[in-house]
Amino acid sequence: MIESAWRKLFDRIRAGSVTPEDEAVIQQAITKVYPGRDYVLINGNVFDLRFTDGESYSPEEIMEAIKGIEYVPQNNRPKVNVLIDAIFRDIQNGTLNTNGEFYKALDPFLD
Amino acid sequence: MSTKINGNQIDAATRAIVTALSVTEQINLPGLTQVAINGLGTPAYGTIVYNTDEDQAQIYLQDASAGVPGWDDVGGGGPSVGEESIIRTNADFIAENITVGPVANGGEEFRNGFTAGPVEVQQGYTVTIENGASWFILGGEENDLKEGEVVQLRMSATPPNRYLINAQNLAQIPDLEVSIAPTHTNSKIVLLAMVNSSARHVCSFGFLRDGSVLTSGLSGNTNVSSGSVATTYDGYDGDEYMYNVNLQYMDTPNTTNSVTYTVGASSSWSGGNRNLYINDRTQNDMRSISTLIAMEVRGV
Repeated sequence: MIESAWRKLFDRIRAGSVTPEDEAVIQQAITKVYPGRDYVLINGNVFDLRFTDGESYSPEEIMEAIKGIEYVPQNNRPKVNVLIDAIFRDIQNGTLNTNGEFYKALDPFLD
Repeated sequence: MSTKINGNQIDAATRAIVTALSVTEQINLPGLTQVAINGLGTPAYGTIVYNTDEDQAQIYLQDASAGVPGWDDVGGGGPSVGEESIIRTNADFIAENITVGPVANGGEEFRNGFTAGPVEVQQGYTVTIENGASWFILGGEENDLKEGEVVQLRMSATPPNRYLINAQNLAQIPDLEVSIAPTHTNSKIVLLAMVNSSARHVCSFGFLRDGSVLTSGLSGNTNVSSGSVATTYDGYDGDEYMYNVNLQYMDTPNTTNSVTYTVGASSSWSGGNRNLYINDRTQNDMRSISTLIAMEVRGV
């Protein structure tokens, strides 16, 4: 994963706004660091992970492993129809700005 | 000690030791007030007096309570009416500090006790029940519940969090737990849970008590081996769909200590774990909550 991608992903983890695609990457990292372990991941937050056997873990190790995961953010951008819907709602609500739905939908995937 | 016995005449002030004494009519015990009895200090074990304040014969024992010497009522059996004490009776108030249990009273025969209700522990007094001991009030209480009636209810609901479970066996859903202390050892705990989940392919749900699967061995299940209360199956092995799973079970914890119930969930097949989303589906756009209710019901 390129640095700008994992930095943005880390930002999303810290902000509690991970996407399902982020979550898939996090799961790969968990499996890489702790293979074969059963777990519950809460809100996609690696700092809120619970192994079912009660064992402790290192979120830092998982974060480090994330950097080595193959991940192409552009492949996971929201679909065009989803973005058009978001633009429509932003125009309707007067939020076609950096606080709007459209901006937030694309922000995780653009440098 | 002087002996003042002459034939069949005994001086009223005589203090004597008699090896054997045969009485053909009656013995009048000394009638003493409580103050006077207290004034006796520590008389010989076996000393008997008539307590005029209590209107009760009392004997000084080596072990009156918990191995401590003291006065105790002579007789026993407590108050009653009718032939052969067919109806036992008690007052409707307690005006002393009492401990029920074998430790304070010095014997296993003091472990379990009962009182006919209603009865009120008056202000300033305490009835203490030792750990492992019990005291039942039989009837007469407004809140006395019959078999099958609900004693108490506890409920828990998750926040609308997205819980991603990746587990071979039932994994506890975080934030979904209730603790309940049954009032009776024979109480039943009715468990009701509602779980929103992606319910991918084969999913199993069950209850845990204090971290252990409650229904272990209840059912054979290729997904979680055993212990499932509810199982869903969909031939489509995707996780875009949402299901609402309801599960119910009745537990008998056989304790009055607090127990904690949780709900476990798992999705897997033939050893291959699936992602099971609780309160959501994979797209992260259908947040909801899940709930757990535990009700104590009076048992038999």
